Amino acid sequence: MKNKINLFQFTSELLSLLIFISGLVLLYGWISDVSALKSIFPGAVGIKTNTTICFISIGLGLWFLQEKRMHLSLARLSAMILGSLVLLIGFLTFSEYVSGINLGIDNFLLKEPVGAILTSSANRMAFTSSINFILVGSAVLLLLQQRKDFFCYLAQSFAFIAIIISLITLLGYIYGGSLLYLPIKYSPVIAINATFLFILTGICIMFSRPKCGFMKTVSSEGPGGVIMRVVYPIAILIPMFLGWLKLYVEKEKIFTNETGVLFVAIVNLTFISIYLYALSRRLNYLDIERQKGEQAQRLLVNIVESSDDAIIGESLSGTILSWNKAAERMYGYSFAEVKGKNASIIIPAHKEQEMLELYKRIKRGEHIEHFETEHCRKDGSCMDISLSISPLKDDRYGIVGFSAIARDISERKIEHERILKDKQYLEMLINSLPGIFYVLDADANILLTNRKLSEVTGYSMEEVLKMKGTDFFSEKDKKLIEEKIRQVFEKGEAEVEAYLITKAKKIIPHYFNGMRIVKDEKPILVGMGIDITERKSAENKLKESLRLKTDFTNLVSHELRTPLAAIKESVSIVLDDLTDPAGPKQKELLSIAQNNIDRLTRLINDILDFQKLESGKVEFRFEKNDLNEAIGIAVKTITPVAMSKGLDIILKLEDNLPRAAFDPDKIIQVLSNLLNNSLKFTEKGNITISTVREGNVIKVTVADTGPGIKNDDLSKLFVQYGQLERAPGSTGLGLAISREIIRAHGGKIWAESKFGQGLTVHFVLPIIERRERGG
Amino acid sequence: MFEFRKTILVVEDEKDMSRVLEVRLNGLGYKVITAEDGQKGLEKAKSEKVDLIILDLMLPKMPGEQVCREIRKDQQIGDIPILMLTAKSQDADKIVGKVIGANCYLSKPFDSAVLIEEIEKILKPG
Repeated sequence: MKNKINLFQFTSELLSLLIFISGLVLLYGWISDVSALKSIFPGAVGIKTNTTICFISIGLGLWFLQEKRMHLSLARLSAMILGSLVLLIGFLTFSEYVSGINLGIDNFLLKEPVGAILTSSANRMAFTSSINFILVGSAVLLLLQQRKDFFCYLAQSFAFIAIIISLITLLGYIYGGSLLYLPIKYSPVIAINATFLFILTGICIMFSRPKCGFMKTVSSEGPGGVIMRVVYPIAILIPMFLGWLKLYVEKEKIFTNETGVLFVAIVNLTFISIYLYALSRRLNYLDIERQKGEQAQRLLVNIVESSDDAIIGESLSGTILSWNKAAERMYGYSFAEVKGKNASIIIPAHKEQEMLELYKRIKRGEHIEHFETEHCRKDGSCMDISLSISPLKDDRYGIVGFSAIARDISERKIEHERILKDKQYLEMLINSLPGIFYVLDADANILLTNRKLSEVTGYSMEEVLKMKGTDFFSEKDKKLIEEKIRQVFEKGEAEVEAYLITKAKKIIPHYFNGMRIVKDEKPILVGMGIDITERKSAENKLKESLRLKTDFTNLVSHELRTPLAAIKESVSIVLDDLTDPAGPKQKELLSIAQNNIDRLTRLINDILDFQKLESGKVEFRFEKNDLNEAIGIAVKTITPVAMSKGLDIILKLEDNLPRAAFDPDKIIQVLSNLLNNSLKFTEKGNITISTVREGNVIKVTVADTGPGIKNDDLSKLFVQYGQLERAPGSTGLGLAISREIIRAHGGKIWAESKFGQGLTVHFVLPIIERRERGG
Repeated sequence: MFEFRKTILVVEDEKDMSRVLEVRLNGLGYKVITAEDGQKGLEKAKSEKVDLIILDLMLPKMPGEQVCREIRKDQQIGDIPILMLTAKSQDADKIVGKVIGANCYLSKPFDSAVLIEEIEKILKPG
């Protein structure tokens, strides 16, 4: 379709140039007096000077008149001047014919030799030529009035009349007659070359505007266009040709007049039959195409109607032209209600300005996609929509309207807002956490964190997000943290205490933890850091108070010793009869005093011992020693007491026991504790001491036949101050001290008992040297 | 008086303790001289003829430790045996060994029998 228009316009432009050049050539023919150019055939009517001038002008004018130059005001002006010139010459010549006054314009440029045939006045163009120039000059001026179709019709009518007038002359030449008999006064005969140029000029004018006037139909795609383009030229040419043929054969006496008519009728019939058949085929074909087109269009209509999106067709001024089912559903208006109304009925007042801007963009040919705005329904409620608008283009008139596709995105928007709210909620949660929250990747880059990090460190949030998780620590801590991060990614979790260094170089102790989680199929670390300044200071306070306790105990113990020593020695002196002899009752009481002084002394010693053991201040001298020997020494000290109570001491010692590394004084202390314990609680029976090698350890067992203890109480046995039952002379620390000593040797101590059947205490010491402190 | 009795210098700031020791040692037949601080103890060790010094570790003016060292440095009295008495139970090695130079060490409260044994070990050898 476009091509046809272009073809017409191209032809028109070509013709304008041809006319212009022909005019120049003919003028040259005049100047250099070449009669072949002037009159073609010797003896025929010659072209006149003004005619050539007019053709030059009209050719150039038509070239300027081409539609593609219409936007140039210079082209429009040139076409107007040239058109006016032609109109003026035509009109003046016409006036000369009508009034009989010679205005002298005919020989204005060049003089024609006397004796030119069929010429009323020398070098005056034909009467018909003057009419033709008036017509074509007017046509040019009319076509300059763009817009109005009416001018187009008028201009094309003028051009058509000019063609007909020229054809009459042309046919006169071909058939040899008719108009030549008009009165010479009007010299009606146009030169043959001019005749052709007039026809071409007419065609050029027609073709210059293929989109308006009569040419609209000629250039149209419809069957009408086909008929005009295909049938019309043939329909003109065939009768003309047949007319000439008939005259020719009759003149040559080949046929008689009757036969000639018959011949013409037959040829005409044949031509027209073939021609109409071809045309019918063509029209049928076009009709099928049209039907296909309609089908496609119906399909398109169906698609539009079944769309879930509202599709609205609007004219450029916003008048609603089409309105699909989805639009009816979405807006609540039926098509009948909105047809012909302005689309502003669905646009809320506060969005009107925005829409006007959009219209401007569409009129410039822009497409608008997914523009989010608001539309309102018939019931007044409004919704969020996503709008896509495309201009509707027409080949002939350009943008004639636009189609709008609207999708209700209220729900999507609500969903979007909900997600946004969730996100804000999460952010709020993260920011309200009492510690530093962080998400790191394996390279310790901070993926997410809370405000706390920025608050604590003094770095801005922007700075923080560019930093690595390890950037907040000293070199030493950094290595530790990197190691822990690796651990999280390998094992799943880790924790660490480290000192966070703030922007102002302040050091704050923190506890950090990390857990590995997976997000978007990638492992990441999530964790929190908590300020442990208070805990650290509490720890320090605790240490301090423990130290104070130790100091206090030491002080008290030491200060008790001197007065105790004085009392003890005083009592001892009296008992030793170094003074006046005391009576038996006095001695008995003084003995009680002495026993209790001893007990107090033991208590003080035990407390100090335990405290030293517990705080690791006791130095052990591990040497390879014979355990059986140590047992011998311990047993020796208790034998007198055992004998006095009537208890047997049974030794079951393994011979050739391997030597173990131990501090003999300390192990003897343990043995003495155990033996003294048994002595205290056992009233009859025996105390058995045995040694046995078991693998890498030597096991020592002290068993008595005393009351034993309940199973539940076994665990309390070795606990400091955990004395189960008050025993005379016991401090309750003996077993706790023993446990500390055995632990220090890398051994183990435990008890077993059946209530009422005695208590058995075992301890093991390693044979191979193992000095690490137990527990 | 026939001065065949051995003389023991008791340097002890606690008057009760000092007195008790005096009674005990007198009972055992020793002559007892007392001093209530380290300085006086050192002076008396120099001025009197002393066979044994029972020295408390914690003393006013001059600690027992220093008294012990001063005595050991002195050529005249450097070889007088010293029996150290203290409420402190640790550092027995240092006290007895070369660091301070005491002959033996008893921690308070001590056993009379042990005290007598140690004194006799020093003063009646063989």
